[in-house]
Amino acid sequence: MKTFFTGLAVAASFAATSASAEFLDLEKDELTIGFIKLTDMAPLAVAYEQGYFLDEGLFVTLEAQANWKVLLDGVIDGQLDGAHMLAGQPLAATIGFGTEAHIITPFSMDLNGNGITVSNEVWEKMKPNIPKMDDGRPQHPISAEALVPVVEQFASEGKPFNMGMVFPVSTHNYELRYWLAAGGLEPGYYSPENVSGQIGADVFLSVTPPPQMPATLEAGTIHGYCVGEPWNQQAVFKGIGVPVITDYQLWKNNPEKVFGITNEFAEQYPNTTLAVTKALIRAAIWLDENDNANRPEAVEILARAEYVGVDAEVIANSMTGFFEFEKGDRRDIPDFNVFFRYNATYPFYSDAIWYLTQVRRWGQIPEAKDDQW
Amino acid sequence: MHKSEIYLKAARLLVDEGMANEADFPWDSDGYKAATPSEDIIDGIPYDGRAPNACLESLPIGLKAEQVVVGNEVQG
Repeated sequence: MKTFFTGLAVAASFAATSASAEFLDLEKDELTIGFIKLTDMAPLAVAYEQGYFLDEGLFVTLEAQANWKVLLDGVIDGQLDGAHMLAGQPLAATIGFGTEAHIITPFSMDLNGNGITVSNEVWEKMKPNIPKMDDGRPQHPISAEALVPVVEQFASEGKPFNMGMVFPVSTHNYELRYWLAAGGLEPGYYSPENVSGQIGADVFLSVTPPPQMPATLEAGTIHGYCVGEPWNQQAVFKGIGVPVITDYQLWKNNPEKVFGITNEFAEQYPNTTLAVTKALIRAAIWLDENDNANRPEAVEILARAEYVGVDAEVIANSMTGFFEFEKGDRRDIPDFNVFFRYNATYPFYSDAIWYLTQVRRWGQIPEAKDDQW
Repeated sequence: MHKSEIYLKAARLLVDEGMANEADFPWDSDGYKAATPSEDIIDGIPYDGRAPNACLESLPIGLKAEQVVVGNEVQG
């Protein structure tokens, strides 16, 4: 009942300025929610810091997870009540690619938000293949066709061209594959017997957790990667790599992270599920309202150690509307992160189907499906 | 998997409570976004969630229809 009274106190202060607030009869009011250290976890941090969870009577603990597998397992075994997830995770779990579990999403967390970065060495080799604008800067979007001669050179020297992505069913795996294939490079297939995803590959993709991408690139284990922010901009700040394309340029307003819970959770705690969804919608509204006016405040929140834990100036790049490619080549990308506008938070079924098409395209689903999937 | 009914129920409560604008939510959506036009995607190949297999067939690289991966090769 403690929760209920806390909620009432907040409601009383709110009621003065708006219509009456309704309080849901929560089946569960203490929640632990997992996230990965990425700027697109922002709706969770904002719902917490702005008191939106408390307004719903929810006592939430936000807990950073080491990688996407640990996070998914945490939700499946109940250690986590819900989590910031890759859009492909609930789908793959439900169809049984990887760990099988019925995971649902009542809320999409954002659109766009990722980039593809290559090492300085690779960039220097790509650059002559990229058309230039009148001011001498590379013309965008950059096609993976510019990477083809580099990959061929590696192959002729007997060296594998390796790139990192964050999880086999991640947006990043599919975006990186999309970009490579659009430029004529084979990113490799999966089969039921061989889940390396490297069958017939020109470019060899493997998993690296997001926060470890820059260090793995610097070590030379991979020559490029696809990841969310701030891990592309950090490569620029550290001077170890150059982003070549953002996913906004790859596919304008593509669906990205979702909030995932188990179906059992939603059935057992329907009002709690509704309350969490309300708090997250409010957070998304706050993040985008008044033409991104609250983004500087969001940057300050995200920079804290308990959330992303990276310098505010690195996070500010993508979160406040621009992106830095080569050092000094800053370009406006106001929609790099979209949290609410364009119906970003509505969980569209057509987005789920897109992910499933890519799951099929690369052989993670071994057989064809009909259009209803 | 995608529970738009939970989402819209939460959105309705927020609108009724004066914390969100009615116009900001797609109340009548059937769950399918308008198809991505070719200028919005890097390879110019549009995506329509209502015809996903047509999209797959039009991509130059990737498995088609009845193709399967056996050993180290794509068959079919």
